[in-house]
Amino acid sequence: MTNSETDLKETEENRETPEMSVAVASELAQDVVENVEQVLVGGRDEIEHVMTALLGRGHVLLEDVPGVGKTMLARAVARSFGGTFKRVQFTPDLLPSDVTGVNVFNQQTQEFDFRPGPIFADVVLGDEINRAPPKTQSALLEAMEEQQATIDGKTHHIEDPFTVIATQNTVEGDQAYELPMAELDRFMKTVSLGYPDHHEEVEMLDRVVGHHPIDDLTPAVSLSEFRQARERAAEVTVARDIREYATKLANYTRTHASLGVSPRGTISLLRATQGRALLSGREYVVPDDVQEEVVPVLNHRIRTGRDDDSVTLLREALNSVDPE
Amino acid sequence: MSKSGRLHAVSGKIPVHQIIAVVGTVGLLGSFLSVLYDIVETVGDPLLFYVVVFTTLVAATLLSRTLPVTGAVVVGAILLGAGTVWHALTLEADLEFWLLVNNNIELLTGETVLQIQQVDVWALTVTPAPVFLTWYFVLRGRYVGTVVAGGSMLTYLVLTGDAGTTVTQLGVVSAGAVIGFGEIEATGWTGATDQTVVVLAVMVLVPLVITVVPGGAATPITFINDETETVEESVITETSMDIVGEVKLSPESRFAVTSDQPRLWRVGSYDRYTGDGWVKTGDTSPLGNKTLDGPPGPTQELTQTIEAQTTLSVLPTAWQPVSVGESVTGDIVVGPNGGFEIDGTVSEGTIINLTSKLPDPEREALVTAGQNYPESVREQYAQLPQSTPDRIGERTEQIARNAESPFETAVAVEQWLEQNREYSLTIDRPEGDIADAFLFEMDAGYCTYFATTMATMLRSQNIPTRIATGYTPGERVSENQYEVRGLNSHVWVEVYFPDIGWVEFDPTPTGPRQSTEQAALSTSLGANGGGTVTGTTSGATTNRAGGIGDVTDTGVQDVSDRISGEAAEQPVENGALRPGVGTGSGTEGNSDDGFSVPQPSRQQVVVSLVVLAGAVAWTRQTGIAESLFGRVLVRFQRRSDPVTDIERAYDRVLLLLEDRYRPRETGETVRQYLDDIAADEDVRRVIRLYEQAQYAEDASKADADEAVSLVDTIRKQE
Repeated sequence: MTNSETDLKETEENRETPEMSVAVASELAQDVVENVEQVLVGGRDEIEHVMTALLGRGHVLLEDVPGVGKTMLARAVARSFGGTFKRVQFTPDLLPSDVTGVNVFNQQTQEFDFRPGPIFADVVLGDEINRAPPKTQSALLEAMEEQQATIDGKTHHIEDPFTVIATQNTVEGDQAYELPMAELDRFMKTVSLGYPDHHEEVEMLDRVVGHHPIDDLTPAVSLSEFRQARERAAEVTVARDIREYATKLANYTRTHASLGVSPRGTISLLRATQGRALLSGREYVVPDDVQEEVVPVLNHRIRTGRDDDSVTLLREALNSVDPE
Repeated sequence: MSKSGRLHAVSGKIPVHQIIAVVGTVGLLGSFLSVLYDIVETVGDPLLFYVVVFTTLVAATLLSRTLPVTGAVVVGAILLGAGTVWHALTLEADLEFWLLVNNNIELLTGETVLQIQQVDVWALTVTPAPVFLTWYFVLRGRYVGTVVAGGSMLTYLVLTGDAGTTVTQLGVVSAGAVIGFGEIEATGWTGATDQTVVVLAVMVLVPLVITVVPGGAATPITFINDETETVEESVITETSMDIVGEVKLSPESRFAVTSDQPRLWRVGSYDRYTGDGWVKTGDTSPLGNKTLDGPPGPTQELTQTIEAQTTLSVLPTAWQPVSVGESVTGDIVVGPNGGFEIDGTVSEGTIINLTSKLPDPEREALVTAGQNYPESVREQYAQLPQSTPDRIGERTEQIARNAESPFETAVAVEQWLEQNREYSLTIDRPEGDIADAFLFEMDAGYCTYFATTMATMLRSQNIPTRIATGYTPGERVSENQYEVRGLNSHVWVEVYFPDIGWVEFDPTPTGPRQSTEQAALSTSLGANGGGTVTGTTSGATTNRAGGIGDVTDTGVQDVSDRISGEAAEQPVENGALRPGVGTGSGTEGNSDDGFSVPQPSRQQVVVSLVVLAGAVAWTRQTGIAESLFGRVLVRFQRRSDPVTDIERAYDRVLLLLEDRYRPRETGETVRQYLDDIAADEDVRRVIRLYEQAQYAEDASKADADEAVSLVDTIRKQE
């Protein structure tokens, strides 16, 4: 889009709605991505995926071996938009209240005071969530789905932009409670960081050894700006053609895999594409956005029931379903 | 395969493709059976044919469930072998094995099977084997076997020229359908239906353009009828005479005859009537130095000298020739009907001396000749196709109600035809039986029609009659010399009288025929610059240039004219008798007819429908219709609302890119496509406008204008 045209759109938007323009929101999101990139060398694509999840009001499951920077990514993201960051290390003896918080009896006021758990934060890093018992997992998952926590019958709302970035321990599989499919479904997308390549690792070591840059990381945008950007993302147009395209893709997985994509999966896909469109400075979703988001968003929702993995099946779907 | 086929049939769920394959088989059977039926029907009783076919079909149906394939092939071979032997046994003559083989090979070069002796027996005995195998194989689901069995029989009949274009097409297209749809059923090959339809359409259309097999009923259908046969081409033929429609006259010289009398110069005769043509049956035998007996009754001897003025393959003589001069005896054979024929050809300038014995009976002898015909003559020469309408016989009885002898009947019929039908070369060939059409529907025709009708009428009264072809006496160029041209070719009738022999009758009105010939000749001469005819004819040329009131042909008295006491034929003035004919409305004058809108025939309509079906299937198959439509779309854009305009602009730009690079693949987004083909900024701009219109549902008039003008620009960058 040419500059003059962008300006034109901007003035129109400003006149009609007080909300942030797409261009500005896109700029903000890009700033955050670039900010995070300072500490996570070579992870631009993965950072963008986390960002589109954030913009699309979703949660992210990081699937990786330990030590590739999962925690770093979560912290850097939170810090970059000035949000609060909490980290929960899930262990087999972790209780639900350790996640959500407890009511403590106040001697002075003779009342129960609510002491919020780590879940009450803008970015929550749930480390190795598959090591916690199902009851504790479900407390986290309720919070993720409802954006609220219920303690002793009282429901507490969690402020925007509440986002859970969880990791699974894939190394010690025998000591873990594998997440059921129904709960995996709550995550908008799975992202895998993977090992950095040779040059990236050398670069990363240069930056990190000695003084870690995360400590110097300053917010690129304010929290309220970021909230506005998120609200704008929800307004991105998803045309009927795009909705049909997503449905066709979902249908393809339903007819070609033993467990296909749920309607919740399709909703997540479209929300992610809204984030992706905003990040690209567009106020409407195009088929390319869908293609970009299909694998991370749908990958963990499919059981192929055959030898090849779900990524192969999704590639098949993309090749067979025509976007036009 | 066969098993599943039958299971389907039992369970009641017969696949459509299988049904079409069976229908195709029925078409294939129908094609060659219709030819065989025509053959049986021409000479015998078709009832037996129905019985044979029906029995064979029932047997094949029953045996298809139990008999293995090899058993069926053996059964087919036995049927064929037994049939052939049976037919050979019914032949009166002792035929050698090699002669039979030789005859069969001869048939395959386009000689109609109708010339086989006992052809009805032949057809009945040859029918069961192909019918059995064809039906057996289709019920077993062996579609290739079906087509091989049925196709072989059809091929045989095509090579003999008995299967006409339409019948052959029916058979070939049916066979194609059997294979095409049968295989689709077997392999489940999707999308093959369209391809099969295309192939079938091609099969229908190609034969319209090309006919490889000569002669016979196989003639191409043409939309441009500029290839009018000459009368001569249509009547002077080897073994069969197909009656055609419009003809023209050829003015070229054929031969000169020196003779004391002008006669009809006969070259051959036909004995078997098929309803739409005549066939010569039987074999020739060498003449050697023999002198034939000639007609049994009183005769008159006539010597003729024939001088070939072109390469001749026929030997014109007055009936009945009995001997030939020394020089050429080796080349002369006696035809099955008693006339002389040349084995091969004689070159231009050859002179042949011939002696004929002309039947010279008294009227009384003819009237009292009676009907005591030899059985073989009655069988061979009173034959009519079973399908011949009864009304021909009824009408003949009515016309000849006063006649008390075959001779009087013949005279009555001859006179009636001369007086009640006009002479014209420009006619359309009727459908169905020629004689019936000429008698009841047409009011004009030429010699072939007159002669065929008279012969059929007399045969309906059980009077042995045959068709003779040859030439009229020609132009008298000196005291006893006659110049015979292509346009003198003629057809007449010969009637058999016991103890007298074959007697000529000519039902064609002589006057109009002569004037038409004259018109053809003068037109031709006029076209050549007038009066440039050389040699013996130059004397007549001066008169002829006027085109009116002179003689091309010398009148001849046939027996009836002479005996029944009618006025001898005189040279007739053209204009006086038949002005309409005399002014040259022969085909040579076609260009004068002015403009006329051609009416499509039924065949042409059917052909057009086939073309249409094939074209539709083809375009469906190739997607060319969309593409063609798109090509038009690329050039012209109609404007409406901005969103639609931009969509059209987008469609146009994609079509342009498709032409220049490659089509977008399924699953590929437009952006990926543009990246892959490295599209330029103008293209990308159009795509962005489209995306905005399509996915943001946001398009202004300005956007639409921009998109349209961009596409126009892109289109011009070739």
